[in-house]
Amino acid sequence: MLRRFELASKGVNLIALAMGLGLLLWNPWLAFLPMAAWVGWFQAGSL
Amino acid sequence: MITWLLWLGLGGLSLVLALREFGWLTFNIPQWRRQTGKTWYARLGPIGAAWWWGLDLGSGLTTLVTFSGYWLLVLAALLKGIPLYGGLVLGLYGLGRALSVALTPFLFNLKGGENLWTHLDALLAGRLHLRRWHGYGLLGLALGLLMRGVMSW
Repeated sequence: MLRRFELASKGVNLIALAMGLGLLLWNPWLAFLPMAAWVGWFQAGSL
Repeated sequence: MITWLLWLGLGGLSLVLALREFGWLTFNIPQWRRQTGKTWYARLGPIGAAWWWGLDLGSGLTTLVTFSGYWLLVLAALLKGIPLYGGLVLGLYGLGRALSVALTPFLFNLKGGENLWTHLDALLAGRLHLRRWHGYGLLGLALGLLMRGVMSW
């Protein structure tokens, strides 16, 4: 029933983590930007 | 502040929060135990309600905090000490929340005769999965920050 939502959330996970970890190498402060959107996605998903 | 100590501290906190999400540590996180006004839609209409919901939910400070990673964002915003950065971080947090609410109904398969509420109930029942994913994300962030702290030492 939630297959598409699960896939989307996994996609959000991977994209945010990849961006975050990549940015960590360059400037850790920037890593918090995609991580912020990622936390927001899950916070809303928790209803 | 000494940079390596900052990254190690944030990395350590992210690790502790990850362990909390996995259920290996149990402690309360700071939060205002309230939810936003459910009756605003009926009283204010869609645009008014959206405006006030956005103000109430957008900062994350005035409602329940379900996922502890939120406090890492607030801490990062405070520690950076630049208002524009803080605005960007919490603005993106709000964008993530908004996108999730806006896009989730389209991610549900409503063709099988099941309604939106059935899917939302299923989503609530699957909260443990969401916590686990959140934990993995915090774990990844922890590892990155701790490595950065060690490299900066």
